[in-house]
Amino acid sequence: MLSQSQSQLDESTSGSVDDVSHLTEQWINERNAPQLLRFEGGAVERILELLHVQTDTLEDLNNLDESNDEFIRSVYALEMERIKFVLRSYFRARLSKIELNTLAILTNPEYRRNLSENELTYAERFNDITNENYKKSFLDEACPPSLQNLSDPETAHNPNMNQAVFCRIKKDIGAHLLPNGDTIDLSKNKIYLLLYRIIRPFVETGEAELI
Amino acid sequence: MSNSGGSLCFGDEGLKLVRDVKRSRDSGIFHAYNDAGVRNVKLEMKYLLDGITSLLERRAVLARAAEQGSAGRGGDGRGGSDYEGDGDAVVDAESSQAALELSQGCGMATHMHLNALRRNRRLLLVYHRARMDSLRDMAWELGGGGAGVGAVQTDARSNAVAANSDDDEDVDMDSDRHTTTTSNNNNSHPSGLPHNVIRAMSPNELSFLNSYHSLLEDYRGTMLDIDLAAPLVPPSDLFIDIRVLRDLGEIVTESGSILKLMAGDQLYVKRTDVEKFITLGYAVQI
Amino acid sequence: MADSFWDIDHVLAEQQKIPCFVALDVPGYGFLDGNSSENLCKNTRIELPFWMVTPLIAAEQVELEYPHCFARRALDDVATSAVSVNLHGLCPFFFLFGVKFVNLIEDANLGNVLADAFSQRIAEIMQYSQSGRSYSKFISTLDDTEKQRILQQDSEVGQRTLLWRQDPNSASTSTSAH
Repeated sequence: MLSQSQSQLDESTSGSVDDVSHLTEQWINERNAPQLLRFEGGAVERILELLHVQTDTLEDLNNLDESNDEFIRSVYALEMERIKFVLRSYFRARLSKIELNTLAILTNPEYRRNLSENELTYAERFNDITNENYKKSFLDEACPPSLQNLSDPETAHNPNMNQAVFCRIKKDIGAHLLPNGDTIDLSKNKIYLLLYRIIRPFVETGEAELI
Repeated sequence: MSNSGGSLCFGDEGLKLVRDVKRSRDSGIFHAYNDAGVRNVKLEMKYLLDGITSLLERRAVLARAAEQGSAGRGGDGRGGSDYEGDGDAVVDAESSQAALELSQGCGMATHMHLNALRRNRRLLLVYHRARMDSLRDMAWELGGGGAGVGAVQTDARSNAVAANSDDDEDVDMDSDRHTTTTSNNNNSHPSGLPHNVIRAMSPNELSFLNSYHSLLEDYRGTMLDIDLAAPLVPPSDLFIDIRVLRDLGEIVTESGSILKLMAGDQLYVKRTDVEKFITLGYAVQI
Repeated sequence: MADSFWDIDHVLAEQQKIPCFVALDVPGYGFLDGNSSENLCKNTRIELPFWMVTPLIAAEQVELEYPHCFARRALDDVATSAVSVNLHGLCPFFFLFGVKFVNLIEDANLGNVLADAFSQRIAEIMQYSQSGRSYSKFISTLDDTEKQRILQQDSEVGQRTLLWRQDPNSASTSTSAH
């Protein structure tokens, strides 16, 4: 009985180890990047499936009454908590960027396509409810029509591409020319403190990660 | 720059509002919505708008006069002789120049009024946004502290439904939720925000908070397994190594299983299951 | 400055007054000159807040002077003894307003003076916050940026370093999740 459940658990985890480590890396990138990154929908879906399977199998394990199962149960339970924690933090990091840069994300196709379906709905509704407050509190009453909507570019609050970020180079890329004329050597495992806009293309391809 | 309201400068009233939210942010105390302040800013904006209208009219009149004057000076001669005969419309070179300058002055005054209007708009936007940010932060912090944002909301809603189960009408969720829970001591709103914060909000802010709740609730619903609003406690704190110092017998853990704690045992367990024993000194974290 | 529309400190910094001369007679703005006459006369010297000056400069409707905090004498002090100048007294948002002003008038030299002063003062601030000594007089000379972003973060880090030295394994010194 025990070994059957245990091997079920092992099976479901082995294929998804890559997903979990990939998402863990993307989670750290997401926490450190000023802009919303591409949504890891595939990895998230597979990991959620994994959690489902693990929950079911854990329940089976729970029904056994041997004392060393407690240890095995707690190891798997801890693993699940870790995964949930990463997911939770991932979604919340994205949510706070969505709330901070709402209009910029909705109106710029480049940012907008990084939203998941649910996040798009969230962004639109969030935009609506904040605008509702402005409109009812003063915008409609006190402003001329030209100033009544928040469509002027200066109100957009774009993510700050000049934010300084720590990054680690993951592959040998070679020499890279900086805007100020200096050259840096992007070789594997080197760590730099750079403006996000400089390292951004490499983060998107996975050749660098933010730390 | 002053206005008819007597404040020292255009934008001064609005600036007070922004200073208020800065103080609030720095102190962590949520101040009451400054209804009077907001109204004053709106009044100033109305004054500016009216001013712009009359300045533009005046500028148009002056510009016309300046034009007529220079035409009368003998540009193409067309309006010339007619003009000189018309007493009311005689505008000589000097005064037409003056009219032109004054019309440009009106243009500049309009520009300044418009800048002041935009400034006021910005001040109001920043004030309202900063407060919404505070409310959202509080809702996450207080609502997320174990109960989860919106968790209390569900209970309150079912209370409200139970209380009105005899009614055929639709229950007004918002007001019932509010009144049902205000009888409680501190957590008087589904958001978990304390009563004094609720009182400090404007009606529009309360409406915003309620909408934010339902927005969050819906979003959470798309990923129930993850429990988005749970506190972000790093998992390393969840499980700890302990040594049991006394025979404690069998306990039931949070997950429902039985755990046997005997003196000398060294176990790797969930912190919440054994915290009380550690506090009592019956077990120690290693 | 990009995307500072919603930033409270930027809003407050843009209230800083700048002396300027208007290029035209401006009807209705006589009150700026302190007199009760209806019109503001051209070439009168008045003080306008940064937020008003910026669009007027773009429309070439005013000419400006350097504000008191960036006048020759103040700058000489800042350049020679950056660490001891009471920046808060000169202008509570000295650096934030400084950046805006430098961008407005495109004075690279002023920019350099400010940048140098900033780096010198950072070193001093960090010394203070790590040592735990009482420097309340020094703090009162810091401008808003220095107080908020540097001092506060520094002392947070300083406290946590202290705690960590006492107990490297304590959970309270681990970085928070968010």
